[in-house]
Amino acid sequence: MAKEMQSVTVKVLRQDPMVNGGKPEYQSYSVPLEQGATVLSILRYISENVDRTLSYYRSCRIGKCAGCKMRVNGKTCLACTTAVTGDITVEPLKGYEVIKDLVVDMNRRVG
Amino acid sequence: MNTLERTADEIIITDVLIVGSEGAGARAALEASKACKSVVVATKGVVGKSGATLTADADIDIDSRSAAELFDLPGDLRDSPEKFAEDMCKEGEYLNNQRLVKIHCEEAPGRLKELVDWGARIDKLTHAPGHTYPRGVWIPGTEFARVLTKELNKRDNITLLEHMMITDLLLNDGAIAGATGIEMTTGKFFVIKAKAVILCTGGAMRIYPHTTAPDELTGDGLAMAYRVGAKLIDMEFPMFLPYTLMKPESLDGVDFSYLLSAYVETHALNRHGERYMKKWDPERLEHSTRDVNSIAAMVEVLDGRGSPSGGTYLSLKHLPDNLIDFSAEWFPASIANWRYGGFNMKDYLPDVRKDAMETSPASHFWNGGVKINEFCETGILGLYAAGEGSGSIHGANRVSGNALTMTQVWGPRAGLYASKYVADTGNKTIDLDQVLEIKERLYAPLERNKGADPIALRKKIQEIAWAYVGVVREEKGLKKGLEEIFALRDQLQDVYVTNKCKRYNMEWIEAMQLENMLDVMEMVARASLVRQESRGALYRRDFPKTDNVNWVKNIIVEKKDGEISTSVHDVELDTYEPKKIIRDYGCKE
Ligand SMILES: Cc1cc2nc3c(=O)[nH]c(=O)nc-3n(C[C@H](O)[C@H](O)[C@H](O)COP(=O)(O)OP(=O)(O)OC[C@H]3O[C@@H](n4cnc5c(N)ncnc54)[C@H](O)[C@@H]3O)c2cc1C
Repeated sequence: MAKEMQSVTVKVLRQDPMVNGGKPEYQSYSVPLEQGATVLSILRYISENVDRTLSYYRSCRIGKCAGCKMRVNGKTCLACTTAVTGDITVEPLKGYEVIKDLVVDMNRRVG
Repeated sequence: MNTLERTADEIIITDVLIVGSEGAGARAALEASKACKSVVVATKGVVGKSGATLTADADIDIDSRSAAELFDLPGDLRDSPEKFAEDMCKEGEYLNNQRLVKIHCEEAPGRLKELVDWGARIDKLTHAPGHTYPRGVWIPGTEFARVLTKELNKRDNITLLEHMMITDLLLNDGAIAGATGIEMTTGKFFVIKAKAVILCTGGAMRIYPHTTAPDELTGDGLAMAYRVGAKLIDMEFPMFLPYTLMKPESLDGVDFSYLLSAYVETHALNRHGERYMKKWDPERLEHSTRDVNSIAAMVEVLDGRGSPSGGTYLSLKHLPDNLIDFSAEWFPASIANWRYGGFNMKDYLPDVRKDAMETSPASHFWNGGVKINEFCETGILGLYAAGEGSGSIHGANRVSGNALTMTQVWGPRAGLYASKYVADTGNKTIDLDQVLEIKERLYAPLERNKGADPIALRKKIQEIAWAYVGVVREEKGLKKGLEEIFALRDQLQDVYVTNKCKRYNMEWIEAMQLENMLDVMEMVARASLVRQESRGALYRRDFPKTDNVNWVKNIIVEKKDGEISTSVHDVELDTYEPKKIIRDYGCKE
């Protein structure tokens, strides 16, 4: 019996400082929810299969480098170790200059 | 008219360029900054937030006596750097360069002392397999990152270039003149004029689909060195870690399950429920060496006895529930209470009281690399290498904890000897034609509107690497792998990206990594094909014996007439020697 895969809505706050006066805008994606999905695995799914223009930073994938720190549903967390079970809103880490989408300049604090 | 100024978006001039910012790169920079006016460190990621160093679990080796004398740890006074060197050669199956091994063991304690003086917190001393005495001083990888980043930021003459993917080395009359790079955040093309370049780019674990290592480790430094004619050594020995997770996919390669297997009695099972390790190591079973566990699992998979995802099962079900529950409490801090890294593993694992985990060997470490001598010279004037991307130290395999030692000993040595070299060298002229050619190649995928998809190609490369150049190799598969590589090279010519924005374009970065991955995979395949025996991290199914009569030899790969050529060389066995016998793989005489 094939089970219909559940999908979730992922809202990402996107921004390119060089385009549109750098105005941030939300973009929504519908993504199949795999068992054991993390915010990072979802972002990876989007950037490989849905929208190749999406940018984010990641390295170790195991919660050690802290390079994928961002806000998920308003809370600061690491994308790689945050489990996804329902719809999410993903925004760049607060207080740092945005380079593009979810990539921020970790050396440059703003505001 | 084309000029360098018009071709490059930015030009940087420095004494030394260090590619890679972590264990080896940071140490090289700190050392070079003592004597050089300007040091530039370029990293593909963020300093202290990239590379394998920070992921280490982590022990760093020094001889046990020094651990006692320098750090007041419960070391064994019978140990010595010589004894440590002997163990390294034994575990490296005598392919190590013994001169370098001796330097490695002698300098390790002093280099660790420097790190501790900078504020690194060390903990206990562990006794890992392969070491006669306890030599593993405990420092988490994140502690390396913290301390080294802090020190880098203190030096005024060190400039850090983050998100800078160095793509190619530039030569002038056979000597290093600099390098080119793409600043990933802007898409700008950089030319860095440097009197010397030190490659500290780590391994190429990402050529495989299953790996414990970070995403950016695609063997760029290995491929760049190869392309300018440097020699690479022991490339047939990528190392694999057994029992890493396959499910959920988001945690592929996570070594939590491997760590479990070290502390409780786990059962590795094939699809028939057989404990296949009985065939390989009836006494130690799952506690056998990492290589034997990896190879055994892969043989099950290849012979059609694997799990649905192409791995084997790791089970705890034979253990009482209350024992399993209690174990989580006494496990070492890094995996205690089902927490690992930042994960609550209970969110991701099946109920281990009931179900087995699907696990697989994963690419973990690069034993070989750019061939260096005691001064970290590569044979290309002005080009140096250190850390995991360099070869000659570990031979056919490394002992636990010794990769970090490698970064701390050889990083500084590279920095030291590169700065001696630049002291009486000028900046060389950059050959514009070389730069134009590189630039055209790098930006071509942005200009093309049809062709091959870089992400599909990357997946294909990884698939082929796993199938033919993976944990278990044989002539037929290796030859098939080489055919596939040949076909992929064609497709590489017309890779195109759909995302045309130059700023932080991940699709474009993937495209730029492909050639490096392919070059490295081909080097592994060619060297593996030459070695007609099994040794250390290499298992040739068609030649399953370790042959100390004919194969105590290094294989060198280098570029000749535009192709990867191999040659076989005797190892200088000036102090330590293996017994001249042919024996079963995995049993150390
Ligand atoms: C999960 C895990 C656990 C480990 N545990 C241990 C342990 O307990 N003990 C031990 O001794 N060893 C351990 N190792 C191995 C050890 O961590 C590494 O071998 C070692 O840290 C490598 O250091 P490095 O400086 O050579 O390279 P890395 O730390 O990998 O750094 C490579 C650097 O090069 C940069 N780079 C790569 N390509 C480019 C490019 N094209 N342009 C610019 N920059 C580039 C990267 O951004 C990064 O900064 C472990 C490895 C892993 C994956």
